[in-house]
Amino acid sequence: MRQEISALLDDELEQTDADRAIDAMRRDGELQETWELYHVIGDAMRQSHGHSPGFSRRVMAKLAQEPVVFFPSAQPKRTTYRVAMPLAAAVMGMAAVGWVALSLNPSPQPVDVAVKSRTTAETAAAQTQLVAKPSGVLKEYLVAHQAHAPNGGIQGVAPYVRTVSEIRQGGKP
Amino acid sequence: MRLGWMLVGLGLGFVAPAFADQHGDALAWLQKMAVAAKKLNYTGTFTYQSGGTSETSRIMHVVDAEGEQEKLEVLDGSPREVVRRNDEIKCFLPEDRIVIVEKRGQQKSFPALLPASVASLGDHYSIRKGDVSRVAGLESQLIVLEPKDAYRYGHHLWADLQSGLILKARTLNEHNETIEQFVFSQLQINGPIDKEHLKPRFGAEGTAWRIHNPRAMQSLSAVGDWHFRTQLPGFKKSAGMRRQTARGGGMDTTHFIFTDGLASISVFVEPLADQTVENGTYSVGAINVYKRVAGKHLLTVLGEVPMVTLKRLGDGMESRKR
Repeated sequence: MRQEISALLDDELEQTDADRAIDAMRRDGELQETWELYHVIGDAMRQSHGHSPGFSRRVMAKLAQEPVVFFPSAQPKRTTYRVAMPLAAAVMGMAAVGWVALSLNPSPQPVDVAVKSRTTAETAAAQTQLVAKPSGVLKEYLVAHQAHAPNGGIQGVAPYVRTVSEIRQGGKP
Repeated sequence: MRLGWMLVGLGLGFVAPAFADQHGDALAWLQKMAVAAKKLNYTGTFTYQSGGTSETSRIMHVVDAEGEQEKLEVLDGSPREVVRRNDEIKCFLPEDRIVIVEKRGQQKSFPALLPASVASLGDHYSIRKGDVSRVAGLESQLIVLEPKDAYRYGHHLWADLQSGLILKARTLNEHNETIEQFVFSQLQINGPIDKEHLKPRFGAEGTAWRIHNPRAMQSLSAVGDWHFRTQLPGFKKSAGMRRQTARGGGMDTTHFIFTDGLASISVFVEPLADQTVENGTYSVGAINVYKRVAGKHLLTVLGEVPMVTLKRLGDGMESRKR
């Protein structure tokens, strides 16, 4: 639901989804807090042009002085409060190194083994086609995974280094 | 990555009391690495090793008024290239004569995508600083991320003491064996870079190249079609997208992404036509792939996590549509 709420914040929800999200917030206090928190964070982000390396330290110092600012009604059980904290997204900033990620081995044969065309009325040509496709599909999926995963980068630079990427059947334990 | 950066700041603030200094310091290093990779101009040569293979590549990264650009070219074997211009990535695979194009599109780093909190990261990895050592002629700080369960891999990251750029990265399995490693052998930070060199050497317009450029868009309805019966500890669904089928048809494929804040898993669900498909497993570096047939759909579950994680997630999926 948090994803819906963030989409709502960005005015990216369809009407029915938006209604549902608002309804859910009405019933669930924690979601309301999430909504408020997103606004706080959004505000913080919009105001902070030209942030500097000391940003987090300043925020932390400030928080140390006024610990209640972000958690007006915080109770101990809320330690699990899932603060929207894209550490990964940040580390993925490695994007650079991160999601430029992989290129692939030109000949990932084993993948083909996974798909067999139905023996019935299929022609040889159709079979070839079917067999040839999956490796391409898998490559596309790998690229899509690297590109869209919010954290491609934490693997360090590994993702983009998967240039060798021999696709082996069997996988690792 | 400005947003994520600041959120790291905010996040550290929120959870600061929960962490020992050591931990907080290690997190600060992760943050520094992220910023460095995004903001610095650099060129270098690195070696990638996995499963007995090794390959050398050249990378360059430039940030200017036009945004970020980078290029990776593999120096061994067939001359594969990956070129990125901001949110668009192009993979040139000359042996297949294919260009794969992928766009992050409307996705936002925040708040549409909310991976785990720092607190939950600490639930599933222990994060600490290691030794300082020399890599590619530079002093580097080692940061160790050790998984607390069998659902994820461990990571060792060595970052340049000065700039924070990652100089070496290693992924380890549950036996503490290296399954993938990348290491710079030569690196120049903030030197002059001729932008001409950022252009791909291949003209994608050439008739002989096939271009795969599937469209993808966020979709909430897609998310509702599938039920995930098994919960993976620490992994949260961070996105659901409809995408064009790989064969160039309609928007029939669904793409889910799960993340624990460090590692991520993609689940692709495509409708099966007439072909029969067998279940199977594959691996690409530290990425494992698990294929499973579920009724009239083929599930492809992949990510930089152990196979057991993928199977658990994939085997627990069922269609809500009958």
